[in-house]
Amino acid sequence: MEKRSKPAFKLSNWVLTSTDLSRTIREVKQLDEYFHQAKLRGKGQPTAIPKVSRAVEELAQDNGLSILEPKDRQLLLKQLDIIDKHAPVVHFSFPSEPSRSGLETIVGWLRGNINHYSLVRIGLEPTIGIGCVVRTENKIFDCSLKNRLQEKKVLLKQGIEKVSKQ
Amino acid sequence: MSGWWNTILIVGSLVSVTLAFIWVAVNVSRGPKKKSRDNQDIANAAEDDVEHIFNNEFREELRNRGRLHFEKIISDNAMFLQQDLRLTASQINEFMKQEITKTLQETFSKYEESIMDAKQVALDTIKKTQDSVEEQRKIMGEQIREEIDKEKQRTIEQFDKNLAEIVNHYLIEAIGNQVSIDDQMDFILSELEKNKKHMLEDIKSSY
Repeated sequence: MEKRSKPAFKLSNWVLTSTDLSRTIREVKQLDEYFHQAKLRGKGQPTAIPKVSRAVEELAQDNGLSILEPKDRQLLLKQLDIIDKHAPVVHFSFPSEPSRSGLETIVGWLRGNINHYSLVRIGLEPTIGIGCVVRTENKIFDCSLKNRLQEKKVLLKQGIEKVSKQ
Repeated sequence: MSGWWNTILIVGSLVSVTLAFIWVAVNVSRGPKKKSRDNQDIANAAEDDVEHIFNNEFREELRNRGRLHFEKIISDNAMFLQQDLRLTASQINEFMKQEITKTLQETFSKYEESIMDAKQVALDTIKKTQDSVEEQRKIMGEQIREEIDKEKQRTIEQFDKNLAEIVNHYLIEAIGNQVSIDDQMDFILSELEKNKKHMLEDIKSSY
């Protein structure tokens, strides 16, 4: 739960949502299972290696781990399990589906300012219009334009009055 | 009334003349009883002369004359009576006419007065009704004006209260889906930055 200081385990930008994390854990487990099965079968029996996603590759690379090493895989799995259990998940409601790059920007901000292991959950709420609504464990933050207008209602009124007088 | 008196006087005079005539005739026919014996012969002779003078023809003649005179008087008086009656009838007619006219005029006058009173009452009632209607109209006007002002105020307050939502709704309708999340990123990040402290506190307290 540290922030601002360099994280002990770097979470890739490919893991942004809790779904991404679950998928990554599943992939690492599948890979570990594959190597375990291959070891049991012994040498000389070729089998297809399961494809590894960019998320797993980057996680291993960023943290100096090798997915071919059982020890490293276990370490990776352990870290991911810890993150899965303890990382803060922030729920975002957007008026439309956000792009991956946009999501990366938002998660990047969260990991840079709130927590290194922040994850998000995405929901759609077309009535928001512009902006988003953020839900943490106990609070809701209305980051929509409607809320901004509500806060700046006096200015808005003055603007409307000024326009209507012209 | 003078006609009636004339009639009564005429009839009275006729009756008195008749009675006088009869009395004269009776006295003439009887003659005095207490006559002396000396005069009895003279009386008898006179009586005989009278009987001789006033014989039946003469008496009949007198009766006829008296009857004729009486009839004439009766006729004259009947004529007078008729004239009086006509005059009286005429006067009665005139009187009746005057009385009826007077009564009718009085009745018409009263009727006219009643109509005028009724008219006045009706006018007063209409005026009162008009005043009442006018007053009611004023009250209703005031009430409607108050209601309009209230409604106006309520609308303004409602608009004021929902101003942000109205503008937001207008913006959504105007720009629709033309603004992507990437375009909104600066705004979202600024909002996140604004709420950073509270988010951090909540997350810290939860994990």
